Amino acid sequence: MNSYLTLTKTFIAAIGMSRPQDKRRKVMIAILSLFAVFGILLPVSVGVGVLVNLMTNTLLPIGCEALGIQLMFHVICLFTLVFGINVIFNEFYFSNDIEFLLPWPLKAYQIIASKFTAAFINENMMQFFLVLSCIIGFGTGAKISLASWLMSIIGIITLPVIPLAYCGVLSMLLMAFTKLIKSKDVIQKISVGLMFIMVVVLVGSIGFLQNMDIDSYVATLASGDQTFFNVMNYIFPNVPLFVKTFHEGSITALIGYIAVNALVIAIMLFLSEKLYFKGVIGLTSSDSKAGRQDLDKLLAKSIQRKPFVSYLLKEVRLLVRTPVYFTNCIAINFLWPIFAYAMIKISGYKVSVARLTHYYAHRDLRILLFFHLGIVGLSVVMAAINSLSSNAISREGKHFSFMKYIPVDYFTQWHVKAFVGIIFPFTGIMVFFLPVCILLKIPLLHILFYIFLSLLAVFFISYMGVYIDSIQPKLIWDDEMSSLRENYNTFFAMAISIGFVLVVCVGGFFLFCNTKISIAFVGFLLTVILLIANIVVLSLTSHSGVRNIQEQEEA
Amino acid sequence: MIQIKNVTKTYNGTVRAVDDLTLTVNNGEIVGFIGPNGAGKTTTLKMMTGILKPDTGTILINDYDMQHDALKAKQAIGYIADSPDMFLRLKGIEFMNLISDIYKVPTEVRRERIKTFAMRFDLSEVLDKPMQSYSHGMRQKMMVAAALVHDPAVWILDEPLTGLDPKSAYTLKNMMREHADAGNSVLFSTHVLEVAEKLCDKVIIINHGQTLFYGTLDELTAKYPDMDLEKIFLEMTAHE
Repeated sequence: MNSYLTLTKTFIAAIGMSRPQDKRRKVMIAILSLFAVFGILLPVSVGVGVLVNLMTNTLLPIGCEALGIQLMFHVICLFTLVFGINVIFNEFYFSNDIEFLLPWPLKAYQIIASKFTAAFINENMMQFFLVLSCIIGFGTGAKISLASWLMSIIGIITLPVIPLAYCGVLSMLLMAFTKLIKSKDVIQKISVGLMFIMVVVLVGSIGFLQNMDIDSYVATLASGDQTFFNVMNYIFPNVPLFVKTFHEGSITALIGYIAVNALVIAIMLFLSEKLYFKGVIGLTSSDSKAGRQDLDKLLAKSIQRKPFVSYLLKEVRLLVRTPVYFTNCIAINFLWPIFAYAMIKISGYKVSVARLTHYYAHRDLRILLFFHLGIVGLSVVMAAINSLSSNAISREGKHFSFMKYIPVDYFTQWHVKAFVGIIFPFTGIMVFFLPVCILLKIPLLHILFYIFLSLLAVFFISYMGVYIDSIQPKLIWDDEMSSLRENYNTFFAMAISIGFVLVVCVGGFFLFCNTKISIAFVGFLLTVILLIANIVVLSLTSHSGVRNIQEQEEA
Repeated sequence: MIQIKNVTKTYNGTVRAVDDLTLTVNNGEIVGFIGPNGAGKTTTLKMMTGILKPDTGTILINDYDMQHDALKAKQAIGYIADSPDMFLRLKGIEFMNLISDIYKVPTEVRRERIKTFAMRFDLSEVLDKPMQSYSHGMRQKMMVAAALVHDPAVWILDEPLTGLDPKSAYTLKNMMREHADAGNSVLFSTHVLEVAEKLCDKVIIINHGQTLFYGTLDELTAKYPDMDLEKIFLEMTAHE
């Protein structure tokens, strides 16, 4: 038990970010934190709470009021399962501390239990607020008793335990049976592939929601057809037990909930004793596919490039060759159509190329507005979601000193990092956006204007991301995944981007709907706003941004 | 030439890592930086290379002020950090070219220098492989080669011999001597007193950020007759 506690404390200590020493940075971090809480955490939590409350009130008359929150909990568990795979794989098998842990006289279950706890605490923050807001939404709708409120506390904290434990079991089973593949890189790619398959399956399965509105959903439930819940209850038995606990105030259900969690954890720890060392021992970082070119041939290819180009090549090579960065920062730029497809499916909107082409040809205001605001919104979100810029300095980790001792000025290095954050999302957007434009026969001038807007938006978010990361970069991290997931700067950048989209795009929509401004004026307004935003962020970069790097000491 | 004048560095406003340090490494000299763990050696080297900013004092590299003329000062330095685990997903040749580009080494010159280093350090076979497949010693050799590829006048080396095999260590020591004899400056930190004894023209011994001794080995042994360098070092640092 002592070993477990000591290890867990150590792993958790490694998660946090160092605190800024000077007052200026403390103020900046405080502002960003407030923005993240009020820009993302609270709006999302309140939104989910309100949704659950609405579902509860709608289902109350047919006596199925708990099914709304149950559905939400199943979705939360499903998402935890999908996105937890990569995290757990990384925590159990790829973190750098493993080579120090293996020679110690530790049992496999002690390592796994500690790593699982640390991963759970790290991953659970957002889920905690979501589950809490679900309970509040349900509790106020169904008017549950004080005892039910109190009994829900355990579930609020522990709901994602079972999906994460499933990830643990899955990772150990896979690793135990991949004896032939001992390269970390290859296994990491497999784990990421697994995650993407699960995402695609998840998105594909959204099809069943396509024609579902709340009335038909209530009618289905009233008819007694609860196939979805029956299946999901088998996969996540903790969910119905948790719901029964606070819905009916059932002590038996609470005991059942605790027992199910304990059982799954026990199975995971039991398996760890049998499988963990089999999988983890012998893993190597090196990829055997290495070139062996003759020295003279290598030298013949060695030509002088400008420092900017060479530094850029270095950044791109490291991003592309590091599986974690490749999937989270590069590949994600090209996956947005999958999520766009999911959104269209959920909204139930029937997309017809002929109809859209017709609308555009006749300059339908709705579609013009959609393209103007949509391209800006998409560009902002895509540039932020890949964490390329908001992790640009943190990615250097213990090599941060390289930035300081080479004879390349900080501003140039900053431009390289921002440029990397521009080229990938911009390419990712254009690869799909341009064919859509051609398909819809959008005039060339319009296309050029949309490209211009997209470039301005991506430019702004990229420079802003690097600026945020320069305030307090996370330079101490154990593995590349930690540099991304434990870096609050990516969260801050996302919050600002969402805030920007809400103000500019959603605000622009309401402005257009409620005033008599023309679509051309919307385009003009967007251009002016984005230009001002870029000037502000470039000014910040040249003044306090470069100073941030100058004053930043090593990890 | 390296000139450090009254340099002080404090961490978090409380821990004084370097206290009013003054030293000069003249052209043609190899100076060994000796001190127990935590004495302030690495902090001093990092201030010289621009990684850390001193609280007070000035650092001149070939007469360029590290604070006010940083790029020119950095251009004159070849620096080997204390850890060779850098950009491990790059191939050796890519890393060499990156550093060559950053220090603006022309194509023909870099080809010749990379070839020389590859021969001297037995790197030819691995240059086309990612550095993460290298052993620790191989990575260290790559760092040495990369740091010196632009033929810098001033070498600042943090524990450069750690991890090197005997042949490579011998090669590097010879290179240090050749470089100093050609009228350049070499400053390196080490814990191996025998290396300092055989290689250095001068040594600086520091502890708790303060200079305990700076001068030639003859001056040091004259101060402590009948004692070898190891005993002198232990005697000096024990009384701190």
